[in-house]
Amino acid sequence: MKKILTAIVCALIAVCCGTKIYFVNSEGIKQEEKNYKLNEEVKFENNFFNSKGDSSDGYSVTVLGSEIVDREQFKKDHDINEDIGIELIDYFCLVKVRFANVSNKNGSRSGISIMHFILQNEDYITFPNKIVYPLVNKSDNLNFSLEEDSSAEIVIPFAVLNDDITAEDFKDGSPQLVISLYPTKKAIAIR
Amino acid sequence: MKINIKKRKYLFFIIPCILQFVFSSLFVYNSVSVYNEFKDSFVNEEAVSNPLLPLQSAFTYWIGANVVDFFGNIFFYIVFLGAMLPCMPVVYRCFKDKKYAQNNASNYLKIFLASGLLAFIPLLFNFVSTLMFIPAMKPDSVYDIYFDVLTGDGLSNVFYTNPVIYEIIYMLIIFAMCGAIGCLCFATAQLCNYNVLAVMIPETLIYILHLFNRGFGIEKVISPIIYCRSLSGIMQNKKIALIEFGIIIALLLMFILINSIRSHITKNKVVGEKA
Repeated sequence: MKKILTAIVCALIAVCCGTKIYFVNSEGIKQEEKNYKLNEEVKFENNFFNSKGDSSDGYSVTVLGSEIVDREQFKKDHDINEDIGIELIDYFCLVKVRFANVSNKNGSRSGISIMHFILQNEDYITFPNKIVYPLVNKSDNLNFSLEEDSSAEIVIPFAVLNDDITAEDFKDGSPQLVISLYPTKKAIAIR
Repeated sequence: MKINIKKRKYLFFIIPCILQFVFSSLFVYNSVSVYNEFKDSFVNEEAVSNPLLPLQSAFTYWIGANVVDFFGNIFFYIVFLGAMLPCMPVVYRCFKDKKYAQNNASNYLKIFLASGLLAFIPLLFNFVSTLMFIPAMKPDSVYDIYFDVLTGDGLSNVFYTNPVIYEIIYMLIIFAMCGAIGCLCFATAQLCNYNVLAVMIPETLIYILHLFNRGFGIEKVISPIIYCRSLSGIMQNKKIALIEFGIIIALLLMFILINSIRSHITKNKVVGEKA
């Protein structure tokens, strides 16, 4: 009898805990997630990374492709002979994107901020590299605006270290370019 | 009111367990207060900034998420230094009853389970009670600095795909570690002819190691009381953790071997004397 009572009490406690956990989780802050394919035009809308001020509403982005280049090859391609501070980087993931101003009328008051973008490959994340950005784009402007109905093609270089993820593992994964976090996290496949 | 002698041994398990429940509850109370403060501030203002920065999730608030808190500190001291408690009544009984002492394997198994569970049950209690008050947002690596689980930490992919399994693995590692420490305490006492005070030797050494780590400001974390506060902590110090766990197991096996050789010699002596 005692054992049956104990079992009933334990089951009741488990049910109560489960119900409470369910209700607490249903009330939590929700972050919607949307995933897009390569070559798909994605509008930023009212989504942002840190604050509403950095929103690129009215703009759109299309990922055109990506390539992985190891450091030595990258140095060869861009005629880099001296130490520019990239010696610790093992390889670069160069993501080619097209930004377009579809309906933004704010002029230079809003636009695109390259440093906000994140390259995510499952549990791995990395950010754009400031040092090599001017080399692959022939411009060092990390924040820019576009005129309405105009577009620009940019290469965003992401630095990757073998200690974090090897080039093989990176290729095996499903890397995505994260273009916003809140209220909707938008991520585009880079291949 | 007199307590039955047979039941008294359970007090060495139940009392620290209740004490851990109290500290765990106080920890959850603090965590929920901090979370509610954040929640109120979010409700009052419009979402002009990302409310997930810093990320608020049960996985970042529970005691195994390396949160700095007074009650959390006491909790982890008891987790490691309390592993010796369940073996005290066993050592006392072995000292009094030589027949009971002969059941070596069963005694080690009992101590392993009791010491391990003394760490596992309060951790599970804390995890479940945190989940009851703070939502468990599914971990996303874009917020990895808040979770403190980075790529290359080991099992980081498990955390971002099955976070509950990751936390259970963590609890099982602590279970195994505390169980092994409890067994080592028993083996040390056995080596010292079931002296109850000898039970404290391994724990004292762990505490000295901890004081050495904190007092001398050593850059490398060598104290299990520090790195075992989260699975990512163990993974970030996996070499040290493996070496220390290996030392515990090696000492345990060595002591068991010495004890068995000694008891064999004593048995042969008794048989010889009788003959």
